[in-house]
Amino acid sequence: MRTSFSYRPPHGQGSGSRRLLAVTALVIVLFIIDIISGGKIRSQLRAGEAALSGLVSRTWSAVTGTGIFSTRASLEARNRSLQGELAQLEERAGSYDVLREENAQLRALLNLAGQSRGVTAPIVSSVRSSPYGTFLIGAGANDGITRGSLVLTAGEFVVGTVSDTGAHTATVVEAFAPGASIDGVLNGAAFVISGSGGGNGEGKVPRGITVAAGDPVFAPAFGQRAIGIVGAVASSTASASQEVYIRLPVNLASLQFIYVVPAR
Amino acid sequence: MSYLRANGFRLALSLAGALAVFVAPWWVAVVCMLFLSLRYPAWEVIGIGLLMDFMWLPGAAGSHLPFFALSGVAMVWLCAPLRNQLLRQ
Repeated sequence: MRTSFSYRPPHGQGSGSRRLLAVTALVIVLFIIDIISGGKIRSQLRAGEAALSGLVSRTWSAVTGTGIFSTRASLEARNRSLQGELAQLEERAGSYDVLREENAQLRALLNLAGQSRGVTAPIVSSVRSSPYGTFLIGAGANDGITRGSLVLTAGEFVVGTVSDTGAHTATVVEAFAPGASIDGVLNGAAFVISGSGGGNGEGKVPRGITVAAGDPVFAPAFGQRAIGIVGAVASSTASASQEVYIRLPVNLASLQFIYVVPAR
Repeated sequence: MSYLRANGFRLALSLAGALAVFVAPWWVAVVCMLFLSLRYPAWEVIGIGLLMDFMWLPGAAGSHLPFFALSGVAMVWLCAPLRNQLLRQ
């Protein structure tokens, strides 16, 4: 019996490898161009995402404003109450709700604007898409936003800091970005908070410190501003420390506007 | 048309991965990248990784390691032997 060995690559494998090699080289070149140009490529991409996100958001608001995705019961109730109104008025009512919600958020930020000088900006990207704990806001270098500026909620809690600016957008890195560490102060005790993303973090404080849910946590790095509240405490008699879970008092995903102030 | 028929799944996964970069949780894009790199010699994996880093990487250009683009490169090249074995059968 004759045994012969031969290696013949599967169909298309050679061209596939060449293509992969070419794309790998292209990626390296693109990164180098981006670095040399001071982030022009990523800036353009982020501006495009902001525009796209705005378009999707407006379309979604218009669609939900018409009540297409409401439950059957709510549609029936709405149908009964709006029976006598014209279709155009229905659409206006939906738009009015959206505007009222936006107005409430902006009104809350207006109080903050009276206390410290800054810029109100919309959040123009998803806050859960980034693996690095970042999101985009719709104000940039042209609006006076600089790297290191603090990003606040209407309740004056620090969400994060501006890490990069484009002309009309800026990238915000969350204070509790996954893997990030930040010094915090809780009831007079200093401790290190590890970020978990989504406005959540955790840390350990000595068992001697009295901690309760709702206690505010401050950050010296952000001018002693509040960065969150205690959500839960896990304590064991066998341990010298207690685990403290910290969260933003507002759901990050529900925020539409934030306030950006220069870092002190 | 025959290209679409032969590569429909690859195209759908690539589009889903690219779209996930913008609107879905990050792990959706990772799952798409993993499936693509296991099944095809897909250059799209590197593209999705690059898109992810350009979109979300914090700091100034060059200040952080482009983790997703590097992961994409590693995935397609490290999965090549395994993929070759799978595709040969």
